[in-house]
Amino acid sequence: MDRFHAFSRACLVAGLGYSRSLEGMPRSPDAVSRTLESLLQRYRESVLRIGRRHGLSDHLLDEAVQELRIRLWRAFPGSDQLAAVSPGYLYRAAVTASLMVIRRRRAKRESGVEMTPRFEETTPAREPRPDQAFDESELAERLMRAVDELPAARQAVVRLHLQGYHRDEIAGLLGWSEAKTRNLLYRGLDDLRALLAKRGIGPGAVV
Amino acid sequence: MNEEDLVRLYQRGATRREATRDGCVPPEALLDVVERRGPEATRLQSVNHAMACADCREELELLRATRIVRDRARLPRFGFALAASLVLAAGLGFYAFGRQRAPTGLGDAGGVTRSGSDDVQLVTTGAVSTQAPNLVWRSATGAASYVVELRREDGTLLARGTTADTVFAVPDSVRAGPDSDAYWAVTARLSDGTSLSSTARRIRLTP
Repeated sequence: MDRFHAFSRACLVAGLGYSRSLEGMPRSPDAVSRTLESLLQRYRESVLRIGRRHGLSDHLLDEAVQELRIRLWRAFPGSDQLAAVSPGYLYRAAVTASLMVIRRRRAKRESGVEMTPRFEETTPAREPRPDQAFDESELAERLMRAVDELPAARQAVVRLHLQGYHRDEIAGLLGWSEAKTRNLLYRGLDDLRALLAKRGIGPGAVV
Repeated sequence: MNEEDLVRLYQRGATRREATRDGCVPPEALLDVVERRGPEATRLQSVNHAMACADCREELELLRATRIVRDRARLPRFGFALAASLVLAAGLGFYAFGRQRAPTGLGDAGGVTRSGSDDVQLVTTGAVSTQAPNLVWRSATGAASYVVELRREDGTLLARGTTADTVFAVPDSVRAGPDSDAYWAVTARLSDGTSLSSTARRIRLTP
């Protein structure tokens, strides 16, 4: 960490605004650029660390970061005000940039422009035997239909669980207590198993 | 069909389903989920779609991860004065000293800990009576459990406990002497395996 960042960090920890703390200090485009890149790098790494486990790709995130970079440059053209960006402002800017990228991506897909393969598609998967693949495809489709039949709250928690979200993450996303989340998850999974059993899909259904 | 089979089949089914994006929820609806805005029924509907559609899930994940980063970057609401910061820094110094001396400190549990950044905000301050000995802190997003430590100024461990709640009752075994100052700190264990720490805060234990 260079002296500029160390000082800025110290000011932040001390609860003082960067701009007040940096009064009288020389400002240069390089310093602003370093501040911006440092900010964006930390943002990117933090988001990716959280999102990668749940299918967030580098590609989508990089687009969002690029959009955010442009927005911040436009909002603070060559100014050290950039250094005083609050977490709240940065969040709003990041959300706006993300929404912009999402809309653009959807528009591209609707107009038939080829998309970059998603994370799941670029990840090598275990190759099942052809007969097994057929059976599993059938089972997967039946499972999806069974999940569709669950009540909305149980369905949401079961879907999140089956997509790999931890109970705490589910509770945080839905705004529920840990107890409520656990309860709905167990009931939802029980319901799901009962629905599958009705369709003749029991414990030995998977090869 | 065991849990692992359910997860694999569900993820397979979800990947197969999203050939078109005709039924996709708008990006703003995904943001409503993340920011917990609007009726719960609508949010559940959005979650249920996103968890069956790889594209929407990735977009939701971008917004969710951004929100979590914002929550973790929140500055403490107290201490917007240099003097207060210095007191906290001194307390942290004492606390760190105590941790170095104590082999059973928080740092021994392993994992990545971003200590002293005040990612977990402590609420209890001032005098803590042993008649109502509760230490209270704000919940941290994604926290699976919290480790609470209470130490004397010389680093001696007075109490240590793990809880899923945001309240910790100081045990009866911790007896207050005259002018009995102590420091307490909380480490949030997150479901992704990382940790967030509060700064240490001074309290006075009164009989």
